[in-house]
Amino acid sequence: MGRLIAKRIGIGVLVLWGAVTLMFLLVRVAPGDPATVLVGATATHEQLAAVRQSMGLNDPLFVQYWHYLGDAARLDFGDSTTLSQPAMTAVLHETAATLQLILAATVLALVVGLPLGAYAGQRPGRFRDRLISAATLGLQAIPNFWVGIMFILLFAGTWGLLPSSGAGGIDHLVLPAVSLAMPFTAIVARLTRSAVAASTAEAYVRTARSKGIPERRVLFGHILGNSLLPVVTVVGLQIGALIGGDVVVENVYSWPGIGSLLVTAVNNRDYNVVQAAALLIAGIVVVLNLCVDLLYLRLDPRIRTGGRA
Amino acid sequence: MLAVRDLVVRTETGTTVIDGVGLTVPRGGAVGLVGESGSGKSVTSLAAIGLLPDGLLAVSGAVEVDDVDQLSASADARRGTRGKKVAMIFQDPLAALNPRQRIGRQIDEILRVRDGLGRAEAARAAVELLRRVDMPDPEKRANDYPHQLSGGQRQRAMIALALAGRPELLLCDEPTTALDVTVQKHILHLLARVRAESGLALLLVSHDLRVISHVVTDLVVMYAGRIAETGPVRDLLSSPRHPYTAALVRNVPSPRARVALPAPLPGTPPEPSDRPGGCAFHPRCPLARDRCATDKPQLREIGTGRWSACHYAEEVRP
Repeated sequence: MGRLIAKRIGIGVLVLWGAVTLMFLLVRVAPGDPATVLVGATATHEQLAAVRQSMGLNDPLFVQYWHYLGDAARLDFGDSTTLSQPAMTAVLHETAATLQLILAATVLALVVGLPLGAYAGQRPGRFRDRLISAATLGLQAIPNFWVGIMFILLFAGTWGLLPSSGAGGIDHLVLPAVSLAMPFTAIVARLTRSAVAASTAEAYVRTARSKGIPERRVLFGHILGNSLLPVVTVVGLQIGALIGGDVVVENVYSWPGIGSLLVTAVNNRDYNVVQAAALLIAGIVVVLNLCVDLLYLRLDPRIRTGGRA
Repeated sequence: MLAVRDLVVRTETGTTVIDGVGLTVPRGGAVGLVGESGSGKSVTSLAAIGLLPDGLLAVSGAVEVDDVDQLSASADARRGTRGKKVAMIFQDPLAALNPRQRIGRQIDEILRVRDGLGRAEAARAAVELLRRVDMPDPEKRANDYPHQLSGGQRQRAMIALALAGRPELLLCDEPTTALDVTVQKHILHLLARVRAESGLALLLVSHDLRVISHVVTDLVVMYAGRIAETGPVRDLLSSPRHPYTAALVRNVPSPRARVALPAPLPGTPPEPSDRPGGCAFHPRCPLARDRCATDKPQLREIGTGRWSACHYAEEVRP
């Protein structure tokens, strides 16, 4: 088990290295060179040459890459060109707000999606199943940004119930978290539905029923636990998509997180901040995936203990 | 103990799977239910414990456990019977055990939930049950997960699980089919011993006449959802009175005869959706005559405790 965890961490480090390498290459294949990007198109020849020298752009590519890796390992992406502070500091400053939003959306998706899916999956093909399946399909199809705008119009505009933008109390969190959670909830519900429907037909569920224990115990003790495995797997894979949605939602609600910062930085061509934000997002995805893997080990004794048979 | 009367089981689409089956298992008795796959023997046993899979429905007849009809009883009453009066073990013990739960916890669940035993007390009882079914190193095995046990150990654990509720009738659906031949023998011995110790009644379902003929006293032979023949196991083996039984008996390899196995019964049993009219066995029957294709034979008494559903039962030769 320890070896498995070590392997997962190793893979996470590899993913981060891949992300850093990709960023290094992308900046260098972009039109012009990083120096042009930094000082702008109006700079004189001398200014450009000076910046090139200071950035080490005259070194061989391999040397540049080596320095870049070292800087990335120290989380040093240089200063932000617009915010007058180190790029990573600017990004880290916004991390808490983003994590808050993602966490709230995930909890919401699980709290709503799991029971909804389990309820539908217990009676596949019946009315409740069809109703929930249709509703979740719709939920999954509605785009984030449209939901965001509708929510602002209704809850903030027409009814004046909730603030339309910014962060603050829990009331500020409601609309962005719900918008972000909606497609995720639908995915969790649909997966749980099919997983529960599948495990209900398993032989061990029949064994559990042959004990004459209450149906509630069969559901919680035997069906749900085994249904969680595929759900956990896909939730792990979906975390990346959740962060993609987060960038959109943060912008719709002017939520002060990495997503908002990232879009502003792209618009201002503040590439140092873009790189820092990209690495941090990759880091968040890797860490969350690691958590999912650990949870999987916890849930499935066949992986945890290995087998004689 | 168990009396199934005129049981008819249909699918949701109306296909008849079990067509008027009746059988009894006396208190402490041991009855074997044999037939090829698709004959409806497993469905009959599942109906006896009220665990028919989704899509199958007992539409008429009765399943009486201690004279109480389970089909007309309330859901709570049926649940009360399961595990306590009637327990069941299944063909594939790996699939039948929860992969995420330790063996001991699965065995003692019924004790914790239905007898209100505390955790420690129930755990001790589970180890005792494992000891009773000859599980090697029972304290350790109780803490294992199903995938950590061998096939035979899993079936022992399954038997311990079934015995936990101290049932009076144990239904065994192909209990040895998924096991090695050597292990099959151990499990059958164990079932016979448990029965002798506790006066447990057994209904042993198998496609393999050889496997169960040593354990049971009476046989019920099923074909295409109906009973072909029933009677004491010795009589059926020595002088079958239904051509289908005769074919099954001929296919039992004798341990002394070191010759090639006899040719298996030609053809395959029909699907429930297209069973032939008249006697369902007539397309495969060596004795079939015109009458057999149109006239459905009823089960009739042909000797003491012997019944056959063949028009020409008296002409059957072993």
